[in-house]
Amino acid sequence: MLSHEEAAALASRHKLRRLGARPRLASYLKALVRRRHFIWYLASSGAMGRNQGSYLGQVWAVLNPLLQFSVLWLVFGIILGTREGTKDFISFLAVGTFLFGFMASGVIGGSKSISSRMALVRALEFPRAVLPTAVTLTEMIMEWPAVVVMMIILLIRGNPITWQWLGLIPVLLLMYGFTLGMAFILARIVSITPDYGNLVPIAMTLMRFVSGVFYSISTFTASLPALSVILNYQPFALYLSLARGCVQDGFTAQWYDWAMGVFWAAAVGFIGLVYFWRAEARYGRD
Amino acid sequence: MAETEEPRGEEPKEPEVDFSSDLTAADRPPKRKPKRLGRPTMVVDDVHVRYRVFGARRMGTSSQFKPSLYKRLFDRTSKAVGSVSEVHAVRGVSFVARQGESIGIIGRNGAGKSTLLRALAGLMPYSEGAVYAKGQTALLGVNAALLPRLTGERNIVLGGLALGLTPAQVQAKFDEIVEFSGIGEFVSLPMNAYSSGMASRLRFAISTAKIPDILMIDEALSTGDAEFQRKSRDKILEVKDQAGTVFLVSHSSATVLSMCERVLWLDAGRLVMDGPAAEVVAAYKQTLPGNRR
Repeated sequence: MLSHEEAAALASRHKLRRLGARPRLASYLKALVRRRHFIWYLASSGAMGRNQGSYLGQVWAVLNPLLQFSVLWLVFGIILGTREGTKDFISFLAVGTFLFGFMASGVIGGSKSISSRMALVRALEFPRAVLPTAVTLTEMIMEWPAVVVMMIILLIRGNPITWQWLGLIPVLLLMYGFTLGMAFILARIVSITPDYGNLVPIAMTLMRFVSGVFYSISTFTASLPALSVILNYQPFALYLSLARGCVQDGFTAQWYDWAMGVFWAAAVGFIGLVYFWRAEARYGRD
Repeated sequence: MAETEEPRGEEPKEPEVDFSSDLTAADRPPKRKPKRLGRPTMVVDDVHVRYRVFGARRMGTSSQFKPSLYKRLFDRTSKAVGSVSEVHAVRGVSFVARQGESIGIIGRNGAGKSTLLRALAGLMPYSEGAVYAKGQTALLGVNAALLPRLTGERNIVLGGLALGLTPAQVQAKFDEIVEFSGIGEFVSLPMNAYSSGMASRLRFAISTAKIPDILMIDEALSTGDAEFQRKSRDKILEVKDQAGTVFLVSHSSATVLSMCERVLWLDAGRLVMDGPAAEVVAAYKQTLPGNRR
């Protein structure tokens, strides 16, 4: 029998590396970049596979958000009447529903990205950050038809096309960075304690109600300025108002709104990546 | 391991069981040399693997005799609500593998063979001990990466990229994979339209597209018809020649005998015996019920 020291010495004499040891962050990132083709292919295959197996196929990518939009319009625009303080409620709701939908499905899908693909984690060796990245990317690809539908609704409602519409691209990228960070954090938590997976969709339902998807936060919190600031500058609501500032007539975003948007994406994205990486050696245990 | 548990009565005390001479490496030659063995490619030092199982009832608790509701909800030891059990699947395994060796792992169902293999491949974290490996380890089997709703073509690319090939390498190997799997024009149909034999042939063809330094195989030979089994056996030998070290988990002692020179016999997570294939397989067979040959 070898002692532990002898085994380690034998291994180092023959230049063997220790399996299951966490790589350094820099080499982890390098390995992640090396797997970019895999990430992209996994993401696009996931998007293709999602709407297959039904008669209408990819048409559902457009139909689904449109139906969701109609339901929210019926409930909040017609029955409950939360349109107070919004000049063009349909455009307001279109931006809110479609873009919040991207963040929500990215966060929910990303939170399960490790726990639901445990078989893959146990079969092949790759940086596990591939999975949350690919799943959030899948959601982003799936979101494109909805973004097009959103633009058509905005045009029908008579919002003029301006150069500001290009601002939608950085808004979507910032949203992706934020969503990816959330996916990293939740993927680690859910893979280690699966119970939290049940709470994520509920938390996203809560966020849908408090993020100004179908009502104007400022109008409803006019008497409570502190609450108004908190609700307006939490990332979900902030990205919606940045997007509205770009595409909806009568809305503008200030430079500090943009600064806050960049801050959320960078901070949550970076913290999420580091938090996820720190548990790299633990994924796949159960 | 011998140090943690007394050897069983039926275990033959062969000199080969004492593999310490084999461990202390280059300076001392091993006692038996079936063929020239190279440098160590893997050092496994007292590895333990534990994993959690959710929703498991405690062993021996019959569902007919449930404790009272109060007890089930508030007694922390009965764990009837959301119980978590820990399975200690591998309990202290140590050995050294060398270049050019093919090592079979045998044992009864539930002996921890597949878990050990995954731990050696770096896919399942171990809780104690250490595994040191040279170069890249890979478990044969990309099936988990494949998506049955997508076409064979797309799955070949996906599987190849999952193995770590570059897009250009996948392109170069594409025709070879299609030809080896023998699926013909089915390659443009979704994989869930394949027969189970076709699907497993394609999976095998994809997973051997990249040859690692240390290859792990878990019951790969049990799929496909006789012709494909012969082809896959050849492929494994080819892989073995290039890979350096091959580990093979199989229930079939015939497969292990034909493929491996060295065999590890695992029982209840412990290494019972480690030595030349013929001796270990013979000793293992003696413990089987009915002593069948």
